[in-house]
Amino acid sequence: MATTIPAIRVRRDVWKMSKAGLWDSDLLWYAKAVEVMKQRPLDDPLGWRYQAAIHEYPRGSDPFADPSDKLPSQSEQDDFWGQCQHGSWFFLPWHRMYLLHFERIVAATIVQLGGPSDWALPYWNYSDASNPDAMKLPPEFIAATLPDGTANALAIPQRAAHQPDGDFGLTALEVNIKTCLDESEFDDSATGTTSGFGGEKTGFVHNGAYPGVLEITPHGDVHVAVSGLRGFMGSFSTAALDPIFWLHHANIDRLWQVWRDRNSTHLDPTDTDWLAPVGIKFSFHNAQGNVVSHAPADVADTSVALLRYRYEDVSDPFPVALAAGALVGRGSTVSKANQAAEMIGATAAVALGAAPITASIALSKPSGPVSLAAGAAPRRVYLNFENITSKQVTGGYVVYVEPVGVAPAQKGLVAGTLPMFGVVEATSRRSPHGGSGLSYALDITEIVSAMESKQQWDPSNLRVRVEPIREAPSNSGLKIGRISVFYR
Amino acid sequence: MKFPPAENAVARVGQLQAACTRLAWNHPQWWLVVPSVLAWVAILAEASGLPIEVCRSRDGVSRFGWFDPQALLAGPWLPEVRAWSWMLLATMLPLAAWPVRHAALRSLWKRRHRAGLGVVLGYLAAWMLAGAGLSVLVVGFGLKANPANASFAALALLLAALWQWSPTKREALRACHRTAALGVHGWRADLDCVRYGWNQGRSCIVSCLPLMFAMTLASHQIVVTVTIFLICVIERARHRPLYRSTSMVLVVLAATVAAV
Repeated sequence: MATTIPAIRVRRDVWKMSKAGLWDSDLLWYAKAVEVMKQRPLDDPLGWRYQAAIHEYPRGSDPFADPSDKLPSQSEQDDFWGQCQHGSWFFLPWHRMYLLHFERIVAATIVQLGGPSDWALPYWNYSDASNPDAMKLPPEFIAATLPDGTANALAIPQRAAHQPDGDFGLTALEVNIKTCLDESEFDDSATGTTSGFGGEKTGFVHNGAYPGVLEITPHGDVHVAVSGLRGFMGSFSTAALDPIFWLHHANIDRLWQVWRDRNSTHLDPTDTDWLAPVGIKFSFHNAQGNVVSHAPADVADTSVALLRYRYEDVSDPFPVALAAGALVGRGSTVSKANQAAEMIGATAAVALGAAPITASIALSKPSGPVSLAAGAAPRRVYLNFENITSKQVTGGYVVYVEPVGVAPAQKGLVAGTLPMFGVVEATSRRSPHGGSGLSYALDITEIVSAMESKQQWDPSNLRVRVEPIREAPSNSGLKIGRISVFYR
Repeated sequence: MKFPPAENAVARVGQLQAACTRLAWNHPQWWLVVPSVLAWVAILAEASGLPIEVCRSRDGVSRFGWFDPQALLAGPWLPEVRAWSWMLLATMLPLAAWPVRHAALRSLWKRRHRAGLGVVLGYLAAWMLAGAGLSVLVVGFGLKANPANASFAALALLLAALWQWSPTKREALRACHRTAALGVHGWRADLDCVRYGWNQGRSCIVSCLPLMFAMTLASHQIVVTVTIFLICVIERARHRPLYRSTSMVLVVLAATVAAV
């Protein structure tokens, strides 16, 4: 008997849906399904809170905790809750699996409600330069009620303060996708460098150290911008309780495909430790409530029978892709693989708050691999922000590199952002995320090249300015363990 | 490009050298292998009947890491210290590879091995202190001298199996993967590395001490030592206790030890 291959679902751009007319039927059904899922108990794998708990669940910070809650067994919690992969090369495949089963559960709920059988999760393309409203939250996620006057489950109060039109003040810097799409490799595990497009090689881990470039921007930035200081989106444990979380991650998943299509050298890892890691399985409940487990290789291709979906638009937003294997800025075309990096300077701990800070980093001459390289010049330069800790939710920061001879009033050259998504969990020693805090690496090669060409580069000293993107508490205890510079 | 035979050999040697250099650059903790392998060779040699004293004294009483009451009172201490040290080098030092690598790669290049050594010193200091404390405990209760030693060993293995399920174990295992921002120059950098190693050692003790305790009481069976070492290595690499499979293995070991 021939097996029926399910039709391909099309994940559509939520803003295109919204602009075509308020309350597209797919968004209306999403709202109704979310409402139904919210009524399901905490221990129901098809329920809203259970789905959010898959990402992370500390009982102590459950905003809906109730004495009548029945928790799943410890064994079930261990297998299915708190599984999110961050700071890891499993970030993309794990979230793809997570979205897949969530989408199927929502779709099954919609069918139970009498809706269509082909519902697909929309995506929020906040980086769409052709849409002036792209960075705003679509009105369906703001409206208090549905067209029939009932409460809108897509609108929640646990978000940052915003304008009535959904404008959170999200900046172009926070939704910049050029940097991540230009990453030439999926993973890069050299110490002190950026971790590639998808994250550094790890085992099963949600306290990994250095996230991939996509995971920093736009992923982390959008999380903290939508959340503000009191919202759900800013913490691992509550992020998936916000219905926009799923559309945000659908866009992150879409960008994975955009990156792959951008250049023939943009390839997923071929390492079996990524494709089918021994002893690691990612388990979920499907729409029927049955347990299913996957490896990244199972979900790498969205056209296979397990997934069967595609995105409405995966076109490359930038006309010229990088040449194969090229390294920007310093003229080398050598692959980054197998090149060791070396630390050449670092600060002591730096406290962050509501006011901008500047830090000066004394740089040594490289004496390791870089000194042995042809011309003894670094091919790439990285700025590391190590062990960022805070016991309080805080927003994102922007990093500037200050050229020599430029007046202090000028901010310098933008190196990137430091989104504080999950900083509280990453700081907590009891949390699965661990105790080390967040760590980020930014590639400042092009900035250094630009400063060199204008005689504004001092090889013995680097000044860095860090300032909050928007509202930031002055006494959160936010601290950067150290800011370091690596040459490669 | 095709090389003539002689040039081909030279090219291959060059490639090998380059690969070794890259390996040493990316894994500056490589030198940990030396003491650990030496310790394992000595332990295995002793277990296979060679006339070598590592964990067993001349009177034939197993002192794999522990003092018996007579030894404690009469001395000398050297054999006991030696036995505990060999066990640490063989089974616990390899677990320090990750923090040593972290410290080395996040230090100035010329300081990388010094940084790694600082971590090892702090790490081993914590473990030696724990070993001393446990020795006193074991001697105080006479566990080693008791004829029912096998029962104690089996019980210790069962307790270790239970420990695998505890939240404290999970937290400690996670803590074994913590990183730290280290100083760059001078004694502050050295102190940071030693402190980091000490903290890593403390986490490692909380995570592994019940296993090490059980291993010690059952030390006359090399298979127990090897199995527990493998459990420690695998769960460290996996970041998770793997409580179901590891506790099952420990229960089987307990039954075996009790039967033997």
